[in-house]
Amino acid sequence: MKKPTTKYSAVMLVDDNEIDNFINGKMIEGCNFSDYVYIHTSSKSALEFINNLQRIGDAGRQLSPELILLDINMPIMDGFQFVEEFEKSGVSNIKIVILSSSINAEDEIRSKQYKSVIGYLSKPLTQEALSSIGRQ
Amino acid sequence: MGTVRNISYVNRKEDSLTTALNRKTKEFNTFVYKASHDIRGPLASIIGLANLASSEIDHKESLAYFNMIADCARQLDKTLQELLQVSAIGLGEVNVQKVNIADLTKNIFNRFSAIGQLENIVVHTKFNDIHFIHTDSRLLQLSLQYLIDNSIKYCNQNNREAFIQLQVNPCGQGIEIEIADNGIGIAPLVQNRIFEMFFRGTEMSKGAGLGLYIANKLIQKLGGHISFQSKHMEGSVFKVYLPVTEAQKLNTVKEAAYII
Repeated sequence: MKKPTTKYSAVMLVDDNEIDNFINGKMIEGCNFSDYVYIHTSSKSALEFINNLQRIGDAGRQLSPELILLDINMPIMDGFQFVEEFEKSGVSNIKIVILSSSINAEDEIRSKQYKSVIGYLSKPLTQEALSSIGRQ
Repeated sequence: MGTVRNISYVNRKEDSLTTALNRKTKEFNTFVYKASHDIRGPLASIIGLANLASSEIDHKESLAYFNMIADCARQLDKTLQELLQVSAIGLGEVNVQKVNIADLTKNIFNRFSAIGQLENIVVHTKFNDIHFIHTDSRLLQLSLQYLIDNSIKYCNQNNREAFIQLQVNPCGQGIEIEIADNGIGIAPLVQNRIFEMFFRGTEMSKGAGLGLYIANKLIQKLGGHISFQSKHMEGSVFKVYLPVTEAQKLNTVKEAAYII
């Protein structure tokens, strides 16, 4: 299998679709993109997890994901609301890549306005797309 | 007095009709957006699962089935994207900006070459000192992409010197982008129908018959038009005429945008 250019110790998936989480987790595992994968099926639980990690200091930083693959269209709190809340919390050691089935150009344009968002990928996630992260 | 009352009545009526139309347009936009996610979401999952199966399964027959599932899903995905583009053309606004035409075309060819589609085709480009044009880059790029996609899809497989030649020339009050190829061309019988919605002009077509329809609508929306000449088994030349759009002409383009 193809080797990705960047290797992460922990990556977080935030997506309400469990089948997609399964696919994305397998893809990440398959090309050794990250040692650990955290899965959250709602923006709220992902934010809570990140906030808890921030509270526990050094140990939290060690466990913290370095990258979040974030879906846009989720119930209650969507991906953009997540990014806004996330940026308000002042966390700077985690980067976000949007991973959405949306092919609406406006979503891509909007995602570029956030400084924590470093990329935009269209589902389904492939190993080629994973290796493009950070090079976009 | 009666006349004045009548005019203000007509104006009021027109205002409320415009508001109603705007509301409907907005509703339809939201519908298209939601539908695109709700249909494309599961489709992307199917493609993802089939990809996963292809990389994990060794059983030859099963693998063939999974690859066929992935192919069908990708085809459906492409058609869905095209249908969404059709509705987007009708609804979207034209955003005219200064566009570097060489960069734009380079971008398109790079996309095709990144997915290995230009391996047996030589591409020539010639810009004849035209560097910038004022138009909507997204709409123009999409339209040229469809035209170039056809030149690639319908290249002559037996010809070892297959080429696509793109050139930009000044033309009357505007510019003309010419895309020429030495592919299989278009049969004379179907030449007057190629821009029709859902029309497929060759048995080789695997798509939905929307490519040239969309390309043509996009250029019309930019105030231009497409013409072509084609010889069966020798090649085709498509010419995209675009008017020069300056700031003062923007308003007319914006109005034209809603004519589809």
